[in-house]
Amino acid sequence: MRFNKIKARVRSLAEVAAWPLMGELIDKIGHRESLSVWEYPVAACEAVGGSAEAALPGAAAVFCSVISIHLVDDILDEDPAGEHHRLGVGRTANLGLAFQAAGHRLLDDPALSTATRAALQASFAAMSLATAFGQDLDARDLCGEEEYWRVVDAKTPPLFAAAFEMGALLGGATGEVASQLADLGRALGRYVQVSDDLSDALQTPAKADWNRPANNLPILYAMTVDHADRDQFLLLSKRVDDAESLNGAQKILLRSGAASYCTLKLIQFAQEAAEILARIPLSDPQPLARILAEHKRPLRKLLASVGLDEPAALVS
Amino acid sequence: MKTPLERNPAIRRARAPPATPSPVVVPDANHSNKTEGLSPFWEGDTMSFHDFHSKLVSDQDANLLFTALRKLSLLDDPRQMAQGEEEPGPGWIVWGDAGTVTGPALARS
Repeated sequence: MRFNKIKARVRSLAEVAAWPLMGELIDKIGHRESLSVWEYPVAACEAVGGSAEAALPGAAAVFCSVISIHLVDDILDEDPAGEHHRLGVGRTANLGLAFQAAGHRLLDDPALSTATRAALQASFAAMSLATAFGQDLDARDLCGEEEYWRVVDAKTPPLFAAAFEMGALLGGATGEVASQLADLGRALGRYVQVSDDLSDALQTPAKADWNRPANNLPILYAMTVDHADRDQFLLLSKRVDDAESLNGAQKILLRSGAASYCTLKLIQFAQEAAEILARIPLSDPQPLARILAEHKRPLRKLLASVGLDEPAALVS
Repeated sequence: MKTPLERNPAIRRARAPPATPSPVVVPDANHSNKTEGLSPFWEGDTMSFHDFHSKLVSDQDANLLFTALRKLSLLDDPRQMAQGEEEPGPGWIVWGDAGTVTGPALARS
C-alpha cells in the first residue's frame, strides 16, 4: 500500500528513527484514498506522465507538513484534542518544527537532479512560510467577510498548491505546467476550507470554531448578516457547550441561509477548479479529476437531498 | 468554446457581479457598519453574503440553483444536510483531524 510506503520513507530518516515520539505521531495518522493531501503529489506526478514511485519524496514531505501544521494549529485553536495537552506546548511546537524539517530532508533526494531538488525545496519552503503566515492571520479575530477571504487565501491554498506543484516537478513537468497545477491546488484549497468550516459548524458536540466564531464562514454569516434570528444566534453561540443551545444555533445556520451560502461557494470553487484543470495540458488528467470528484461527492449528495435531481450540471 | 460555467445559465446568473460595482458594506462582528473596498479575489467573482441573503429572501430569482439553495435553508435538522452520506466528508482532511479516519463531518448521516 502506498500509504505505508510514505510512512516508511519518513521513518527512514535517521533522526526520525531515533525519535520514538515522531514515530508515534506517524502511526496515529490514517488515510483516505483520493482525499488525504499527501496523495496529491502522486496524482499530479501521474497526470504529467510520471510514476507514483517518482512522487514518493513529495508525498512523504506533504505528509510531514500536514503533521507539522496540525500540531501547531491545535495549539493556536486551543483544540481540546490537541497533542499539546498531553506533551506540553513547547514540546509540541518543537515536534512541529521537526516534522517540517523532515519534509525538507525528504525532498533532498540524491536520486533527483540538482535543479529538481532546488525547485522542490523552494516550493516546500514557500508553502511552509505562507501557511505559517496564514495561520497567524487566522489566530486573530476577523472583522468581516472580506477579511475572512483574505485569511482563507493565505492559510489553506498554499499547501494544496505545493502538493500539486511538487508532484508535477517530480514527474518531469515544465515549470509552466507545475505552476498551472499550483493554481488548481489553490482553487481546491479554497473549496476545502469552506467545506471544512461548514462541516465544523454543524458538528456535535461543538467544535473549537465556536471559540473564534468570526473565523468560520457560516458562523460569521449568521453573526453579521441582517436576518431575523441574528440576536438569538448571538446569544446561543455563546452557550454552545449546552447541547440544546448548539442545536438551536445550528438550525439558525440553516434557516438564515448561512449553509446555503457555503453551498454556493462550494459550487463556485468546484467550477473554478474544473475550469483550471480543463486548461492544463496533461498526459492523463484522470488522477486529478478523481480527486476533484471525490471532494465534490458530499456536495452532489447535498444538492440531491433538496431535490436537485441533476446536480452534476452545477458541480461538474 | 464555452466553459461549463458559460453554458450553465444558473451558475452564470448566480456568479454575476452586481450591475453597479460599488464598495460593499460589511458589518463587523460587533455589527458596526463600515465600508470597505473589494479585494482582488472578490472583484467580479461573487456576491457578498449580505447580497446573497437579500437575494435569498427576496424570492425573485427562481433559477434552479437558487431554488435549491432556498430549499436548503428550509431544512430544520442539520443532520438532514448529510442525508444519504455514509462516509465522513473530505473537508476535515486538512484542518480537522489530520487525515485520521475518525473525523466526523458535514456529510455524515
